[in-house]
Amino acid sequence: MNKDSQSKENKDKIFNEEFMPLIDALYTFAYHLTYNEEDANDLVQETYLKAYRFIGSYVSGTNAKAWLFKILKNAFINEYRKKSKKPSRVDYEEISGYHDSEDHSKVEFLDLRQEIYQSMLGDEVTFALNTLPVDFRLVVLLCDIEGFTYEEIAKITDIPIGTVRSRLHRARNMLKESLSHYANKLGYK
Amino acid sequence: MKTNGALENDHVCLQKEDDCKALADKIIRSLDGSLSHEEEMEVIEQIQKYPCCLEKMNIARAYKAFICHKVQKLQVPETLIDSIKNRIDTSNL
Repeated sequence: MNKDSQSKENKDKIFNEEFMPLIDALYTFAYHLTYNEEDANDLVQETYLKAYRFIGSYVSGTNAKAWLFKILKNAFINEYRKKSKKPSRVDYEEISGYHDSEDHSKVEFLDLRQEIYQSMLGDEVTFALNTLPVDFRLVVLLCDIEGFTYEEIAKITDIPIGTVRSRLHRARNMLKESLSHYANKLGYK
Repeated sequence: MKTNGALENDHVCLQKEDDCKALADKIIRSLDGSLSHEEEMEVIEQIQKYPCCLEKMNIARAYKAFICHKVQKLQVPETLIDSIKNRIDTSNL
């Protein structure tokens, strides 16, 4: 076996054993970023092709999930967000300095254990998530759905940990508010 | 105390309000898996002393479980997996 085929064998091994098992998580992430199956397909395909092409810069046995999520996030930002005529933007002024004057508002501790919330369908929660500006949606998906730590999210999104935390805090409150309004509309006061 | 489905945020804890806020913040970081082992131990110790904070932790934990459980998880189409593998096999990547 020559050097090239050996190298391909190693690449395929890493790809199949470390990258492919994560493809459903990547697809879920891509879908919740784009809310379009075709775009999600394209994003995941681009991510995996890039991952294979640059597999030499990945160290086997390290954090493949964070590495792939970062590739996908970058692809999304580069290829999709710039396409949008009116990209949703974080109001950075609004959230700046949050951690210096943290105020846990009432909605912070909204109790989602109540019956009305538990009876909500996934679609309703997914819709509420979809209403979040993409920068906020990103951190919720990475933290609450995928279980990344703040440090990992900071690396994936290229933002400081403090910003990760402030965005997460605001995103969760926005999401809870949205769910609370939904419950009120259904007559729950 | 519940109003409009939310817990009132009036400070009912026995510790100082600032300490309570700091603990609430640590509870969130703990649930997000972003505290050191030492900090985790401190949180557990404080929570045992203050039932109000334990309730906050339970609510915050319920939030994470709720979102994680309710947000739709998808399975990648087999055709996409085939397409990726095919592109890799037929290109010079």
